[in-house]
Amino acid sequence: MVFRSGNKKIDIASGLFKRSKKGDKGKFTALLNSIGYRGDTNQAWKDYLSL
Amino acid sequence: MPVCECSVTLKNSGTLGCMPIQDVARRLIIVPIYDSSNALNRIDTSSIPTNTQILALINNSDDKARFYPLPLMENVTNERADPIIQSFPSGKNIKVRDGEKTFTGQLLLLGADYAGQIEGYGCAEVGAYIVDAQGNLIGDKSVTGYLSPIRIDKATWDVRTVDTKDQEVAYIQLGFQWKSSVKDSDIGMLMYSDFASDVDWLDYNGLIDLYGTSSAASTTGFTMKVTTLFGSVANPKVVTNLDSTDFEIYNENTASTVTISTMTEDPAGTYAFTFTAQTAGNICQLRIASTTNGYDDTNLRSVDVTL
Repeated sequence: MVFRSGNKKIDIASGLFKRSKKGDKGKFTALLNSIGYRGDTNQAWKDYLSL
Repeated sequence: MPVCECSVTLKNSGTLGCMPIQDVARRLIIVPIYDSSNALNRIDTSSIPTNTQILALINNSDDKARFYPLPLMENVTNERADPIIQSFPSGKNIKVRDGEKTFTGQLLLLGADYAGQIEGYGCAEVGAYIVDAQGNLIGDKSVTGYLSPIRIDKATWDVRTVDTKDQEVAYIQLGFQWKSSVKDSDIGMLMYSDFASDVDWLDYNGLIDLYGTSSAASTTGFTMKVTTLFGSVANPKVVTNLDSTDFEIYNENTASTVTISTMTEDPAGTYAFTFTAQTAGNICQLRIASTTNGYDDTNLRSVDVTL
């Protein structure tokens, strides 16, 4: 799933992170932060898991 | 002069009320005469290619079977010179042979970078389909059942750049002669209406060569700046906005594809990949996925990334 921030973009493979795995949400959020993502990271996490 | 058959009978001379005739040429589709198995590249008129099949021809991994659409052209001329005549004292002029047919056209707003891409076409046995302003595809119909690329006399292939002037844009002047074996009566066309409605020969673009510079390689990832030949020598134009599905990472040691976990594009044209840990010292290639059209990744693949 692709997330964008300005000209930056991150594409995270589906299934890489799981709801049930401890720490995955933090890793996911860290990836979004690495591109300066300004959207709602909780919503992004939900969107990612719903794939 | 042309060899006449002794048993020739005159062909009938009627015309239809509306005779389809080709419009001004707008584009050339350069095609090698033979593919890598020495088979002729040509269109079987009993099986008109679909848009998908045309895209497959343009993206063909066999570069000797590939179609190479050139950009749209202006100021096109495609004229046969006056025949060679021998004159006799009686005043009789006998035609010795047809004049050569010469094609010229201008590729606008293009310069030396692009000229370098196409000047080598004059070193190979190639032909061309002409796409006219209506989208008709013009070729050589001399072999029944096929529309073949019109053969080009490769020794006459001439590419030259014309630089920007105070009141004129830069362009590439392309010129060549068709092979003298191609007669005017050999030329035929597939009309735009012969193709499916989603086919527009005026719209197709040729492939773009990709190059890469790798950095930050580790066992779990690497970064690749994906560039083209165009633009600044120091900072060539990059290729932006590709998705992870446009790429494949291939581990040459394990001879297998590595699944991309994440791909970050930052800055534009620079892609950082992560994947599950590979063995240190393994060599990976970044490739363009076979399902992604528009790019030739031959040079990109040649960048060995040592993890």
